[in-house]
Amino acid sequence: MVIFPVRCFTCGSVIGDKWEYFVNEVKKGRSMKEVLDELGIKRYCCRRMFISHVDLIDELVRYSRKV
Amino acid sequence: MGKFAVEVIEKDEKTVKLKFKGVPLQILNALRRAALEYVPTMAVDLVVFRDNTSVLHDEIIAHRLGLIPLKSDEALNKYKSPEECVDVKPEESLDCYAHLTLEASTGPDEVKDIYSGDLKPVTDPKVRPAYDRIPIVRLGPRQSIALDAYARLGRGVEHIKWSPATISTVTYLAQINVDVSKCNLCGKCVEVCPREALAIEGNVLKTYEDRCIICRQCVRVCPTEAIDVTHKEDEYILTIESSGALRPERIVFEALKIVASKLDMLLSRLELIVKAEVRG
Ligand code: SF4
Ligand code: SF4
Ligand SMILES: [Zn+2]
Repeated sequence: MVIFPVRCFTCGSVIGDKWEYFVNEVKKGRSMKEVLDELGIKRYCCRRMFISHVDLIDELVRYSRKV
Repeated sequence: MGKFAVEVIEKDEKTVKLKFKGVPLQILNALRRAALEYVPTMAVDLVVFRDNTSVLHDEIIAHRLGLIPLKSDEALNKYKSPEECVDVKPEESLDCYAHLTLEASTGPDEVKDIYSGDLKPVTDPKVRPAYDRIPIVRLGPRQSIALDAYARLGRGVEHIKWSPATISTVTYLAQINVDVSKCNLCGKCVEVCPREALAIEGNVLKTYEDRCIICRQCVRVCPTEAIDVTHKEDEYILTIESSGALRPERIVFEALKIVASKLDMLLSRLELIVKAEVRG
């Protein structure tokens, strides 16, 4: 996806606000499980949103549309 | 309805877990559904773009804005119901719509994230995003976005963005019966239980019913048919997790009011029908 979803596709729980922290912690070398547990993401529908997301917006962000 | 009891099992900012005794399952299920579908909250319903040169289309941004929970505790008492606002123009009515705005732009070499916290209330400071750090869009160099967003009360039946509950469940409580005369303490059930609800302690099989998820694996594996798992007849657990728009206990109260008013409505319709039949 281009940008991380605001909510979990399955249960609707708000997850958007936790993405940056998740990415930063995982980049530091912590395991995904540990970070997700810390963030209180309990259900596997929400957990897969984090684990499977590929952020593509950086690939596009330097191109502006003509308006 | 006879005697009933409610016990708060868990409660925090986001979740409330209540144990009901003596309340019929149908009523709890009506509550559960009212929490998902009928309790109103505020959500962005119309977005007017003045400018958007970001890489996300207007529709995507509008959709993301809609999904951001807005604080609705005060708004519930203030704004008109969704039914009363059907034909109202967003720009014109302060009783129906709260106006918010978002404006941002970037310099020649700047890349910047725009967050839900950048969505600023214009007409009502109480109606604001429940979370400040939800990314809405990432702006590249020399891009800008400017929009007006109008939020109103709505219900989950219309669109799930208005639903105050992200989880609303009624679950059974386990009842584990062990026939001591048949149990030979082989431990097969303990081994297979996924929730550590069973344990052999000394020379008895101990049960921890609150951990049990009624999967009945233990029943299938027991060689002597000594164990049986059912659910308690008269006890249920209602769990509600809030999206952040309303406090979880408020969702329960509002759901209760809605179920009660629906029952009143049903009763008055029935009375009309009965009266009409009596008159012939
Ligand atoms: S029903 Fe499942 S969870 Fe409950 S005690 Fe048996 S194996 Fe464990
Ligand atoms: S599997 Fe059956 S016999 Fe074996 S310990 Fe469990 S209840 Fe007792
Ligand atoms: Zn989920």
